[in-house]
Formats: sequence, structure tokens, C-alpha cells
Amino acid sequence: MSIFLFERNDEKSIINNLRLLIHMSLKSIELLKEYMSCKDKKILKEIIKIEEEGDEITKNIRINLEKAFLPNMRRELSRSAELLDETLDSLKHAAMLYELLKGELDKYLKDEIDLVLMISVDMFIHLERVLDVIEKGGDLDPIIKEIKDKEKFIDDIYQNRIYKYLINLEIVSFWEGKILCDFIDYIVNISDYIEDVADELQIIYLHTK
Amino acid sequence: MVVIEISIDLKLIISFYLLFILGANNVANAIGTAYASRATTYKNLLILFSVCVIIGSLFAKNVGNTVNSLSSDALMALIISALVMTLSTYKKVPISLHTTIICSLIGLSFKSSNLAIFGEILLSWILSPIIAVIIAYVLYLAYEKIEIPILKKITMIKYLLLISAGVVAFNLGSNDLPTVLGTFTTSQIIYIIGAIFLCLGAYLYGNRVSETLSMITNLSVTSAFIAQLSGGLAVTIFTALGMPVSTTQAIIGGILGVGLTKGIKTVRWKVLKNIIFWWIIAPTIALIAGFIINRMIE
Repeated sequence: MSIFLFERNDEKSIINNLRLLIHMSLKSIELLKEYMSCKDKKILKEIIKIEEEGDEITKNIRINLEKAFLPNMRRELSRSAELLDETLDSLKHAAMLYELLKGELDKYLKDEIDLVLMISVDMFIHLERVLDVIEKGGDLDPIIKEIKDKEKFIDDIYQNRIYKYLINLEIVSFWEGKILCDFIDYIVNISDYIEDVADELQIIYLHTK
Repeated sequence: MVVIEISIDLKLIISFYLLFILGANNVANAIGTAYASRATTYKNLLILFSVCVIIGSLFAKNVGNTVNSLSSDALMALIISALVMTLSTYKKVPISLHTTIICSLIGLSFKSSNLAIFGEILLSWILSPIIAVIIAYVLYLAYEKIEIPILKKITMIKYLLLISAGVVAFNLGSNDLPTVLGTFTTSQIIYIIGAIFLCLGAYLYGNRVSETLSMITNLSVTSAFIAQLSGGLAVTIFTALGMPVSTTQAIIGGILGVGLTKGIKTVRWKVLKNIIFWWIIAPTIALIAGFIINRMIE
């Protein structure tokens, strides 16, 4: 810690842990994509393991918040960690539901889900740039706008392309349809979580104004 | 060999009691914001508080001399102050020990020669919150203009919180303390012993701080510390001029200054009017009480 450079390890460790959760989500997305093409049990186990590690990191963030940042920022940071943990949960549940799907995933749906995951990856990269601004300075507004635009695009894909396709899709049974719908919901929800984290981090930015 | 004789009398006992209460009540004013933001540990903050109070007591002569020049019946002034303070605490009305002591002194020795110095003190009471408003307004606008990363800004605030805590603690030693002790002495030794009593009050009733902290954490720490620092700096200016002024009043001026940067409509004038009303009423009660007792004695 240097009084001249105003650097403190307490705050840095929180930011680094949030970064770690972002990297874990990116890794989990990659594994899910892989799992969707081969249904390898080892990959599923790895996704579940990442989610468990995420819980541990989230707990650490909460503990370290006791002595880091300013009191009026702690709620937002705790919530950010929680939301990032939710993304890992979503990816785990999506993978577990995919395991229950009996048949192959419809080609059209698979392409749309791949697109949603690709945009989500991009959103995570932007979210990391938000952390860069908190740490090193810069303009937050264009990055937040980018994240919001991408989230809107995913919503659009879900409402106008996936949902409209789903209502005309032939299904074997009620449960097959429910599992497929829930699987898609878990994947689409990731973008909502990322947007919420960005909002929380923007509030922290405003607190220092 | 130098022998220092301190005759333990009622004046000393009451004034040390008042300082003890002052320490217990005002420790939160000084270190509350810094503790709420976890700038450092509570133990470290108490050490910082004590060091600054004792250093402050070494600069207490100026204010001590001003108060002493007003003093005629110190014991009665201290008794009135203790009673008014106890009553206001019971009624949960925040009032300033400064104004109570000074007004009871004026009431007890109502002379034309005293009125001139009383006029100066009264002017200080009006000017100190106004100066705090100006300092806070300028500081807050300057702070908003600073273009540094959030993470560094947060750390910077934490260091500044320690500085403002130190300034307010210094004021306790250099302004509040001689307001009490100046009623009957200008002895540096007594001032230092008084500073120790003030710190004792802070240590032994430190749990009172937690109540205040719970309120502070709901405030924006940045605004709170700028208000605190501005109030502290305003009091330091008046300490240099030898004028007994209230830190609480100056800090409220600081809060008003921060509020004004966001526009005049953001200030809750109703609340402010109520606070100013009590600032006028409490010393007036002390002044009248002192005056009546003085007439009765005569």
C-alpha cells in the first residue's frame, strides 16, 4: 500500500475476484458449447466444478468487502458478485438440462443458441472493460451502452426468432418441451445478469461523483 | 525542583466531568465517518483521536484567554452548562456546549465591557458555519472535477477521512477544551490533564459511537467527509483567532455547502430552520438563567 499512489490491496482483491468470476463464466460458456456437441460427462463435471468454485469466490468477495471500498458501495459490489455467481449457476443448470434432452437439438435452435452465447461472450468482455475503467479510469458510458444494446439484441433474438420458432416446433412429450424451454431460458438469462452487473457497477461509479 | 500544585475543587471536578461527556459525545463527530468507511481499525482511530486532541490542547491558549476574559463566576457557569446540557440530552435536542457556556458567562457578568467581546464571539458563531458552507461548496465542486480512476479515488477518500478526523479531534483539544477550562484557568498543565479526561470519555463510552455510525453509513461518505473537513477547517480558522466556536454548527454548515452544490432545492430548509431555532433558543436560556442567578446573588 502506498500513500502516494493511493493503491490498496483490499479493493484490488475484490476487483480481481470479480474478474475471476467473469473468466470462469467465459470458460463455462466454452465448455457448454463443447458439451452441446459431444455430451461428454467429463465436461459436465467440469462445468459443475466451476460453479462450486464460483460459490467460494463469491463468499470471499463478501467477506473481504467488510474492509474494502466505501460503505455505500458494498451493497452494489456484493450484488455484482451474486449476479456473476448466478451466471455460473445458469450455465450449470443449462448443461444439466441438456443432458436430459433425449434427441439432438434442432439445427435452427442450435444456431440461434450459439449466436446468443457468442453475444454473451462479447458482453462479458465488455463487462471486464467496465472493471478496467473502475481500476484505471476512462469513460464508462459507451461501454455500458454497448452492453445494453447487446442485451436488447439477445432479447430480440429470443422474442422474435427463438420463441416464434418454438411454438411451431413438434415435440415428443410435455417434459421434452419443458426441458428444452428451460434450457433456452437459462442461456438467455445470462445476458440479463451481465446487464444487471453493469448497472450495479455504474452505480458505484456514480457514488464517487 | 518544580512543584505543580493543583487544588482539586468543584470547578475542576465539574469541568473534567463536562470534558469526559464531551469526549464521549464528540468522538463520533471526529472518527465516525472514518470508522464507517473502514479507513483503518477503531483502535488506530482512537490513537489518532487522542494524539490530535492532546496536540490540540497545546494550542488551546488563544481560545482559553478569550473565554477567561469573560469569566467572573466560573463555578456557576459550569453548573448552568452542566444542567442545560443534561436537560437538552434528556430532551434529545442537539445543542452546543460552547454557546451554553459562553452565554451563561455573559449572563452571570452582564457588563458593557463584556458586551464587546460577546459581540465578537456572536459574530464568530454566525460566520463559522457560513465559512464552512463556502469551504464545503468549493471543496465538493473541486472533488467532482477530479479525473482519477474510481479505485484510486476511493483510497484517496479513505486517507482524507483520516485527515478530517484528525482536524476535528485537534479542534476538540484546541477549541472545545479551553471553552470549558478557560472559564477558570489558562494553565497549560490543566489543559493537558483535561485533554486526557476528554480522551477517557472517548475510550470508555466508545460504544456510543456505534449508534452514530449506523446513521453515518446511510450517508454518502464523500459528502459526509467533505462536510466534516470543511467544518473542521472553519473551526481551525476561528481557533487561530482565539474565538470559541462550535464544531457541530460548522459541520452542519459544511453539510449545507455540499447540499448547495446540487442546487438550492436539494436543501431541506424546514430541518435547517429547526436546527437554527435551537441554536438561538438554547444559548438564550443559558443567558437568561445566568442573568437571573446573577441578579439573585446581587
